[in-house]
Amino acid sequence: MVRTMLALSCLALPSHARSLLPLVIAFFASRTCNPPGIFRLTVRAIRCLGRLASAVSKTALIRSYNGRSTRNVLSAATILAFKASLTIATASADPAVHRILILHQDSSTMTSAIEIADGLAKGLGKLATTKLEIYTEFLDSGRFSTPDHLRRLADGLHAKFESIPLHVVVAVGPEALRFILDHRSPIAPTAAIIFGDLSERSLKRLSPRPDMKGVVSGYDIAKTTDLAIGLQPDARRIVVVSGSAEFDRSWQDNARHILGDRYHDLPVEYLSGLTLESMMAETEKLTAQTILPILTIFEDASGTKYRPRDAAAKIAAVSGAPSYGLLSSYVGLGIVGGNMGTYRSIGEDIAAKVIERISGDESAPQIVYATNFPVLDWRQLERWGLDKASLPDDANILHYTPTLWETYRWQITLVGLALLAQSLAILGLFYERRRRHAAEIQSRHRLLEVVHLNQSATAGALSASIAHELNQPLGAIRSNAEAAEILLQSDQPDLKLIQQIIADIKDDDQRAGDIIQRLRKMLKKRGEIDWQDFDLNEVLDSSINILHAEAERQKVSVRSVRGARHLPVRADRVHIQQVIINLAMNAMDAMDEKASPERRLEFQTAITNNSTVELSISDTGVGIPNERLAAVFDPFYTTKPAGTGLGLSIARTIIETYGGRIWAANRPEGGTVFRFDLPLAQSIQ
Amino acid sequence: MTPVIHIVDDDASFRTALGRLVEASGFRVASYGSGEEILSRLPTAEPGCILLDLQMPGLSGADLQDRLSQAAPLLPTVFLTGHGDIATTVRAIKAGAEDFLEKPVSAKDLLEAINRALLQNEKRCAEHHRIDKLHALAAGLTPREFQVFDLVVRGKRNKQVAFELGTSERTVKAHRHAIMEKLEVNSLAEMVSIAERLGLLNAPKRGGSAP
Repeated sequence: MVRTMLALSCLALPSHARSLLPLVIAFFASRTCNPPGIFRLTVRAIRCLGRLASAVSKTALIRSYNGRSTRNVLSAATILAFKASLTIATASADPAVHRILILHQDSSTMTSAIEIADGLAKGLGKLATTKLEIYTEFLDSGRFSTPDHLRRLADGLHAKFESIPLHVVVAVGPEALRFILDHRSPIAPTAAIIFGDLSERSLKRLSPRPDMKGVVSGYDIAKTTDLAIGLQPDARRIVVVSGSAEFDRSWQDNARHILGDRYHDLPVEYLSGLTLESMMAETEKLTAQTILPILTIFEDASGTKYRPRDAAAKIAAVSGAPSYGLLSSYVGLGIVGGNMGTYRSIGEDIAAKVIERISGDESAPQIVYATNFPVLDWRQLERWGLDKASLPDDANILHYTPTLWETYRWQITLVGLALLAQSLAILGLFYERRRRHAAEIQSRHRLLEVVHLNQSATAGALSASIAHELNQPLGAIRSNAEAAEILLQSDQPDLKLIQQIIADIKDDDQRAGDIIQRLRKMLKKRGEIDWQDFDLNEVLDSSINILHAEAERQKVSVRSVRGARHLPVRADRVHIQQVIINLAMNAMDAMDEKASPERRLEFQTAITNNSTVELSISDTGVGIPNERLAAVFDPFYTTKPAGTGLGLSIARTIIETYGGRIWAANRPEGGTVFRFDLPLAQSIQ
Repeated sequence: MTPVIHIVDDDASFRTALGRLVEASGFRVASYGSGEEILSRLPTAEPGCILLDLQMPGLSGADLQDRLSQAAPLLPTVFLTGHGDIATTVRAIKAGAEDFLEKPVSAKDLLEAINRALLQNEKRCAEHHRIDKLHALAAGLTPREFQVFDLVVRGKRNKQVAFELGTSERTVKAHRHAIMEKLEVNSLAEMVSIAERLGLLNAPKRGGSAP
């Protein structure tokens, strides 16, 4: 409850009061409430505030520069004050405590003030061992600068700090320095003066005593213009914009002094004494080949007062040329940037001077120049398409919008890698597929070659019987022809007989031709499988035709039983014929040891399971040992002295190529039966 | 008489063609489709020869040759074969082939082989006739004379023959004279030759008693 209330009240209070609030709480806690319970509450309140403040300060540190939330930055100031309040709460009269009054020239809502306070807080935070009490005042002298007001303010401060001996007064801005120089004695008669955030010219004008040390800001119009020329190598002219307030004019004078009418061969024009609207209208007409430094516009020709950054933002928004500024508060509102350093860096520089003073370093120089470096707005560089390569290394680029790559580097890398891996995998698979395809084709070619070799071997084995078979018609032709020759030599040749002889010669010639045709078909080499639909019975017939002479030679009787009239299968018929011949030749060889009347070879075709066509080839041979029945299809398995052991292996390969199976079994009555089946090409109607 | 050429081949076309050629060459022809067929219709005693295909289903050429040499010993066999490999040839020659021809066979080779076979057939027939005649002469001997003949051709002297048959040397001499007249020979050597051809010398001795 208390925590919430404190937190809420802290946020709800006006800014001045807010910075003092912890102090008040601490004071209240330490003075009024002595009982332990109350003390505990106090400690809790302090702790809670501490937590709140640190939480807020984290946010502030993170967001304070870019974020325009006054509240956040104020919280940073609050921390300083709060640290001081802690000191009071524990040891209010400690002489080792250094009390510091920070006197801001501007109002507490101005970015410059906020960021300088932030830089100061950061810089003073380095003094971990020294106890500090820090007080902050905002003069808002841009709007309240009458001597009467300043005197009243001095009186107020006098009253405020009468009982608090200040060790150091930090004057931020020339007006703050002027104020403390004018009213030092009532407010802080013994305090050391540290100044900052003012130009060298202002400093000369104010001429502080040598023991007053500080930081001089070089609002360096020359370096900013140089930076702009670097970014815009094709620039034709320079137009300097400034307001009508006295301060504005002093800056313009300074710029005239430095840039003159021509700077680096570029004509320099000065746009001043106009209303903001006129300035906007004028700058709108400018081309992109113009460099447009915007100085300060506290007030325009009509007397309207502005925060310079607001006025600069308006001009930058409509300007046809890239605009530049000298104040870091402008950055992020539309100007490209400038050589300026940042208010935070000024705050840090001032804090360094304060630490110097506290640590008693008398030898330090009176003034140091504020750290300046190019500050640029990434978005504007992008907007104007300016060459980032020309930027110096110390350039401070703000509002940098990380590219997708920078934001999601890991994700993109991972996704990219995943995609790459996937692509590689796909490529690999494609490659593999191609290789496999090629290998398949190659293996098919090999198969066809092997089958062809097997066919040739078969033809070789059959050659004796084929020769015999061929010799029959050839012998008949010869005998017929010679008989005719003899007949024709007689006085009265029997022409009828000769006619008959010639007819027979033609028949025998046909017979011989058929045999050769069959052989040629069997031996025909093919590069691809010749798929055809055919009747297995037909192929069986042609196989038996080829085999019958051999069977005759080997005294084997051949019988065939057809299971159906038509057994359609789809394959290469020559291959299937080869399988039948292989199996039949094996079967005949297996019957070699049997007496010739017992050598019986039987072919049988049938349809099985209504989906396959089966052919069995049974012999009355010696049979195969049961344990070898499966092995007979292995390559190089042979029982014949001259066998290659490839016949059955090739038969199996062929049958499996056409989606069939092949197997062997021993017949109970002796001998072996080899069977193969093939898918039925179409159902029997 | 025109010789008959017996052609045995399972291939009707070849058989017919061969028959025509042989017939045109002036022979008579008898065709058979298988070994069994020729065995069932054994050729007559007419002169001729057999042309036999070595490769036929059923009875093999060699087996058939065995059977034929018994059933028709006077007919020489000429083998015809589709492939003249050494093993087949040796088998055929061993089985008593007169000749061996490879298909397809030219008319010249065939007719030469047929003529050789017919000559052989003639020889066989003449020999056959001679032996028949000797048998007829030998049949004219009395049993006693045959006993004496048997012993004499085995080299027994008259004295030994007389002793074995329990007769006198003079009686044996008389028998020998009668035998030489009946067998139409003039010397012992001729008698031995006849006995050899009749196969008496290989047969066991007939003993001392008359048949």
